[in-house]
Amino acid sequence: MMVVFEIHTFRDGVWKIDSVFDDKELAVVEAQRMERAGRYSAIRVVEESFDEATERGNTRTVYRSTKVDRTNTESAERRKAPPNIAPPPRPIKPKKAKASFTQLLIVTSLTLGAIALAGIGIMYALHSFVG
Amino acid sequence: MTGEINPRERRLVLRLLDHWRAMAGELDWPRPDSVEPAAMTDMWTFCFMIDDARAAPRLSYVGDYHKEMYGSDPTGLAFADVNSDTLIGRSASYLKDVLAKNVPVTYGGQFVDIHGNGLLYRSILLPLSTDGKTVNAVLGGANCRILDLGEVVENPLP
Repeated sequence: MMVVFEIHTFRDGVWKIDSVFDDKELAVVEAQRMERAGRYSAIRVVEESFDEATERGNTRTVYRSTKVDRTNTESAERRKAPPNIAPPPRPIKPKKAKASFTQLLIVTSLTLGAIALAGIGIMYALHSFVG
Repeated sequence: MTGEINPRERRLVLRLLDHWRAMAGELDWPRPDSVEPAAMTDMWTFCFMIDDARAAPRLSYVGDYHKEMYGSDPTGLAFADVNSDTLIGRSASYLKDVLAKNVPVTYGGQFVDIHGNGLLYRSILLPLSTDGKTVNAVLGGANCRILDLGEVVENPLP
């Protein structure tokens, strides 16, 4: 059985064979180094095996990484991490308009009182004038 | 592309691969004349070059390390005349794979060389192109560790 590991890179909409290894670990190490360099939007390591006796081949992906995968992994890690930030302070509720309503009552009462007093004064003056 | 050699990477084949990518830039393959020994002084002794790789491959350069491992200087030898039970012979034996896929290929393994040493080796062949259309030369690199003969598990030729 002959086995090789190919690094495939995806760029500008095209997959290309980048290099060939006979060692899976070395291929994955190199794929991860290339991934960190950030030149490609996706990288994968494909195992290609060929059985000379049966003349049958097989292909399977043994490592894959895309920028989307990386972003998703980082987001998942952030979600898993315990919160180490203090909870935000409670928002200060704006005071309801109770005071304004009271003030309105006072102003209204004073106004009505003043009108009543003025009415009484007018009636007294008319009464004195007529009398 | 990793762009430049990572100073923390110690494996020869990955450092050579980094160097090859830097030489290639946006090209598919570097030109043979862009290989500058002065830019790879720490690796040059482990390197060799194969010219006329498709028609009549021959060793156009052999580093001192390989001369020592070979037991003589095989520079200028036709590919067919290089002893396959040597480090450089094993390391260049999969030239056809590089020419078929036009990409770097790295293989390694164990074998007993012509001097009776058990060798654990790792090698790489890196395609070069003069015209940017066809791979017509190869930069190779390899190093090894000598094993106790009892340790050696013979691998077939790559």
